[in-house]
Amino acid sequence: MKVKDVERTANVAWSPKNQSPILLAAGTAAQQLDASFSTNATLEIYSLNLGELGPDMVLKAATPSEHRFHKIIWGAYESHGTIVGGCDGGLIQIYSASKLMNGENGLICRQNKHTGPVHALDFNPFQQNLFATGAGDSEIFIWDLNNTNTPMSPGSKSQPLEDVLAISWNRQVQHILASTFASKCVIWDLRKNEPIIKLTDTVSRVRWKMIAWHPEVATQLCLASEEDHSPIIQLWDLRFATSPLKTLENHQRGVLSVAWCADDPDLLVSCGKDNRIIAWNPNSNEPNGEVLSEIAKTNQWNFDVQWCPRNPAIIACPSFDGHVSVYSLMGGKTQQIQTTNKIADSFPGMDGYVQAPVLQQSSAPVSVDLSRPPKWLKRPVGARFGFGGKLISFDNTKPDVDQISHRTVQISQVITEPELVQKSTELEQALEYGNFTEYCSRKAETTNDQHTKYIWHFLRANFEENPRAELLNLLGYRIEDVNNKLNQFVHKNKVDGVSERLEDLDPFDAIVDNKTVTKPFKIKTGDDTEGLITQALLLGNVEAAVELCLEAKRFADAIIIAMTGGSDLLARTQHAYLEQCEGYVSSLISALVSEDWASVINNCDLSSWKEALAATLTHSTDEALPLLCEQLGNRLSHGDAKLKQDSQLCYICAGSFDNLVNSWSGNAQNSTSDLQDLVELVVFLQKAVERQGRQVQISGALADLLGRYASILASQGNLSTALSYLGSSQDEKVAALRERLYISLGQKPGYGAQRQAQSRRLSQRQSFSSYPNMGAQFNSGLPNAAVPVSQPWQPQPQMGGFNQQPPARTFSPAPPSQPTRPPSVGSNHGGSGTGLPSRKYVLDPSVTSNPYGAPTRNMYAPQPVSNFQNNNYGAPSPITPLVPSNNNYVPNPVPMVPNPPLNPTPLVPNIQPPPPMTSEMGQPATEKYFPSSAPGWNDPPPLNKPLRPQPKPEASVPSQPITHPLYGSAPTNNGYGTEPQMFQPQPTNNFAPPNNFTPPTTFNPTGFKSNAVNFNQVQNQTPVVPEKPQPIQKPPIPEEHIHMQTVFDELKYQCSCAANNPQTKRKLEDVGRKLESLYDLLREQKLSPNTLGALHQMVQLVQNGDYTGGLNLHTQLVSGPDFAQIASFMPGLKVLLQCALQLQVYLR
Amino acid sequence: MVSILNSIDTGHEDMVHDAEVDYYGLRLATCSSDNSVKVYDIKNGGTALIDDLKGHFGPVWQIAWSHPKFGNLLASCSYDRKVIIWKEQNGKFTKYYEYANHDSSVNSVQFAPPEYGLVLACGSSDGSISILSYISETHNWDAKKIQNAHAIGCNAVSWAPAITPTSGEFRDAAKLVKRLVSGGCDNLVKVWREEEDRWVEENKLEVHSDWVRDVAWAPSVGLHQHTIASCSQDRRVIIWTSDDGNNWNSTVLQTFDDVVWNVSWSLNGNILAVSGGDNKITLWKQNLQGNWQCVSDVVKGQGQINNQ
Repeated sequence: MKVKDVERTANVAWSPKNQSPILLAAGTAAQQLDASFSTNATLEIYSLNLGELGPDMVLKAATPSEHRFHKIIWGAYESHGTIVGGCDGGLIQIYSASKLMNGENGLICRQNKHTGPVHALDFNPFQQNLFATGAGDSEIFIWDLNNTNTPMSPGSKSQPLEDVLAISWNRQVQHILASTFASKCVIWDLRKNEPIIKLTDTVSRVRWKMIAWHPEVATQLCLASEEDHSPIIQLWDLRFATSPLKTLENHQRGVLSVAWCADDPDLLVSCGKDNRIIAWNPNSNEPNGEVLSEIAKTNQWNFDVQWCPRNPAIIACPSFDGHVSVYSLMGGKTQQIQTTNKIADSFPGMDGYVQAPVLQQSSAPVSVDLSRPPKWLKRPVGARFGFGGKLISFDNTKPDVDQISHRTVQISQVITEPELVQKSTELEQALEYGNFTEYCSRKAETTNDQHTKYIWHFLRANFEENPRAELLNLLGYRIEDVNNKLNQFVHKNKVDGVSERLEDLDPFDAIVDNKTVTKPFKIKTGDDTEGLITQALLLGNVEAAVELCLEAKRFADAIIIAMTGGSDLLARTQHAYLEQCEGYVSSLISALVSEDWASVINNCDLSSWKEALAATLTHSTDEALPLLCEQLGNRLSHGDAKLKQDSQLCYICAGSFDNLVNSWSGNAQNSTSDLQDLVELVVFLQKAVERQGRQVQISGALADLLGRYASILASQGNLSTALSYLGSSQDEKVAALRERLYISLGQKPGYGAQRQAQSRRLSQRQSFSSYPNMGAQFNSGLPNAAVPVSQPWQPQPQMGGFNQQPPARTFSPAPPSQPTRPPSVGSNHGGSGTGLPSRKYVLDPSVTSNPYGAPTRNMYAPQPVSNFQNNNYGAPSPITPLVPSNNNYVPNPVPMVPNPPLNPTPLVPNIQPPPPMTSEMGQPATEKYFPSSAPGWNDPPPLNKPLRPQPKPEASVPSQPITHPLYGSAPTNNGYGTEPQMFQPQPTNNFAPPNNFTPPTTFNPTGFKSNAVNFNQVQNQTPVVPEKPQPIQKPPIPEEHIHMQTVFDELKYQCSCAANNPQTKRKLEDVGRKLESLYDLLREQKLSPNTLGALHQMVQLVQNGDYTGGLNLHTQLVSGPDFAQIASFMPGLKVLLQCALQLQVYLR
Repeated sequence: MVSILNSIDTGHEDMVHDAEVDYYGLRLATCSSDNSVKVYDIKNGGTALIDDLKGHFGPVWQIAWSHPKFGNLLASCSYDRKVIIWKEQNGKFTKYYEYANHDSSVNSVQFAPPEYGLVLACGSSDGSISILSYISETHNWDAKKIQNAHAIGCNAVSWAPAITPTSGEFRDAAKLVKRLVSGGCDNLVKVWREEEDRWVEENKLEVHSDWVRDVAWAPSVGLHQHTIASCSQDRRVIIWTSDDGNNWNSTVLQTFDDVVWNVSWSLNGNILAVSGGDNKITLWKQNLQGNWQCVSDVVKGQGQINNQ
């Protein structure tokens, strides 16, 4: 295919191979005049300019010459190379191509050492400064461009003297030179300075003109004959120099030139006087040679053909019709580049003189492609990636002995992220074995980055038995520490009694207390504020009294009074109070009262985010928690860099994947190790969220992340692992990848249409939806959906310290002067009252983090059993005043050793724990010790808060536990054993004979107190009181009182049914325990007739639905003389009545 | 780590020119100077010959698997100037469509991203590029031709991933701009864009100093940056990047010891495999600083990974 054309009759030379872009030099041909008969000559340089369509080449340089050229060559000597032209009269002209290109006169040398026209020129392919020339009289010179004055001769002239028609250096051996004469070809060895061989064909009548060395085989060359009668090309091998190896016959008239492709020895082009340009495969064994293509048929002789050294598909052919044409050996059909015949143009009317041109090329172009592809089209080597990090490769190395043949295709696995693969494997193992806590701890330990430590500890907290407590701990609020502190504080100020009382908010306590300090007082009824209040009180106008108190800013009075006026009034009063209060404490109180933690979250100063988060963790419900944490995180994410980091902690608490991923993704985009970190985090968060019983929707940023991660895993060949990260997301890309993985893994037929549902199941990572035993336990442990998580740690506060100390030290000081307040009575975290006031009193500014802290009961709370404690199940025993039998155990001198017989539950008669509790109790709670043992790292970073507690982990539990396996127990735990079974079989056997329990000695406050204490202590040692001991039968309630039990129980039951908020339910559970106290007292006949009478009266009122009356009666009772007897259950009755009133439950 | 999973003696009687696995990596197709295309089942490390496709009358240069949603199609292109699309039915491949409208060797075929439908681009030594689109309504193939894409021959074509031209725009199939890149014997890398019914030359990337042997547009990796790799007879591999698809920057990956014949991106677009005429295959990866590093020399399908 002709691609370029220049209208010149010129000899041409391509720029050297290293030259880019490709240039073509054209020197006016000496062989023939052009149409203008001009004898002027120029040397021009054109750019091949293949990038542009059309036949034009761009003229880059031109210089006039006094002489026309018989041949030009372009060697690589100096930059842009050197052009040498052979002219008539033995003249050679040497040009600097770079000077020409710069527009200067590039002629740097002119020598006429030769005789006659210089037809033959060639640069040595190995030494760029050497070239050979040949001219008349058998003259051959070797020139050195460094010194052109004294060319050397390769040896004595061959005889007879003839014109040297062509000259060519061997392509493999640099000192071998071939020269052609009409009758012979002489090969010179320049080292020997003599011809080493002469080739003559004695058979054919050949006239050699052109010569071409084999580009690779040093001993072979082609010789072309310009003799019209034998227009042949002969392939000779110097090793068999007697006759040619083969003869290529196809030209019809003499062959003027031949060129062997340097890039493909199977390609030779020739042109001749038959106007044809033919491509051959000179190595073919076909007789007469294999013609690969007739590249062109022109209108005139092409007197030369030059193979472009740089672009092997390109040849240049000057022809005598005034054109230099550039052809491509590829490219299909010949383009219709119209060539005009200058000769004809110059002789108008002489059309007939020109024979051939009328036969213009037919309009239907024929393909001139080589019948066999040239070597340079044959890709010898390749590598392609396939799905799953597969590399498919092949190459063209010669087959080794019996190794892989060159037609073998290799499929290899490419793993470019070995670290990621390694970490992924570890992650998989952690997930498989379910040792989440350990994994998180290890991650936290191995990092140096404080923030990352936090993140992992926060995650770990989610897998602890008591996530919220653990999170609080991490936030710097170690409940036990704080409570210790508070406790000391409280003791010091002698406020405990008051706070206790107030906490319970039972006026009844207050009244009793007052009683102990009774002094005669006067009642004044003046018109001053006090007087007015007095009057209002006297007349029972509660509302007015409240109003007056509020006006007088006697808020405490107002609230106390309001409590007698029903919950509505109380709420209003609280509201009124809070409205008037200022300061953050009241904000907290307000939030606590209204359970509106969003206001704290949204309004707190960002620097207080930890406190806000702690409060939220403490108080909010499972439903609200994620949202609140997320809100807090969102606020933080707009803060400075540090806060942005902290927002991630909030997102972890919230289980908010998208936000977490988004807040992270900055660096996970590029770095696979960051991506791995984030994925680990997300996966564990996912576990945590699922553990909470929430569904994880894989969408948005999470889907992107996991999709990306999965695709990286897939790219490392971990297809099945990759699949496990895709879950069941509906995200389009994720779904596509999942499908691909399925089929690729052979879990799904890929090429048929059917889909098998079953394979879908296969893919789901089991661990994404189920956890080895943990999930179930976690959920079943939370029978009360709304409150479950908020409770577990309540009992925890004093644990650490408590365990360390003999009970006596901490608790024995219970002053006999306050015998009426058994420490446990008021303890039910406000459950006995409306729940509101009790907390309020605890909210000392220094205690904000722990509204529960104050109750002394917490001190005694049997920590390890928090689970069953949180169901209020553990409570009854400690507060049952009638656990005198505990006395028997108190002396038990082995406090740290689990003492199965000490199981306290059996002592509580008739307890019918709801089923979930039982199951709860069955679970040892040993993991709980991990949190408190968090090593020093959890010293919170600068909190800038006076509130900052000083966690002293070593004070309570040594730090080893964190490295323990999940179920390993902390040292303090050891005593408890971790297996509930340890205790199960024992209760019956080991219990002391029943009579040990029964003796209900008279109630001795002091004794009771210590009982309780010791009991609790005991219980601490045996946290795993799991079994409800059947064999212990309580004595029946005396018949005359059974009615009381029936009514109260029924009322409680109905209230439970009607109650729809968890708090009320909790309260009612507490009521149940208090009623048990009552029933115990009834059994033991310990109530005075007076009390019994009042109680029966109350039952009557209840049956009549007169709860207000009942409450009034209650007030009377508690202010009566029998307080000590009834202290244990009266609050329960009150709550019961209040609930019934509130819920409008009536026994009819 | 590069380790051989499977070594398949193709049984071809001449040079192998291309080998490609299908979308799922379950089948391998190879093509050869022996004019044939072979398909193997390589599931689970097997090497079962499924079919030996004979239909070309010249060396088969390249093959391409379609996305499976269009059925199991395999395209092959040959020195015989033809493109054949084979379709598998019941384990046998039959000629589904033959395109013979090139005037010279067809050197490269590649299916477009499936978002564009069933579309095939072919680059030929006649200098043109054909874009064949299957019209499902009429069950016909529509052919568009970019004439004179590369003087004296187009050696390679590669489709841009289906992403929107500029970042921030929402993804909308209708707004996707079809682009492809080609490389040829004019030493040029050219980027083409479809505008309505025509293909226009959007960019002419001019750095190579010799034939461009292969071009590969990197798969989208979520970033809105276009990346193209090109390799050349000039022994260089050039990475071209563009943020807007319009302005391209070039980085020379390396000048190799021999002609570079083939460049191929991993599916994630982060690893580039480079195959040289000296039978050396190297894997390249961009480090966090954005520099390209050779992470592996693959010899006979094996090699180590050196990430640092």
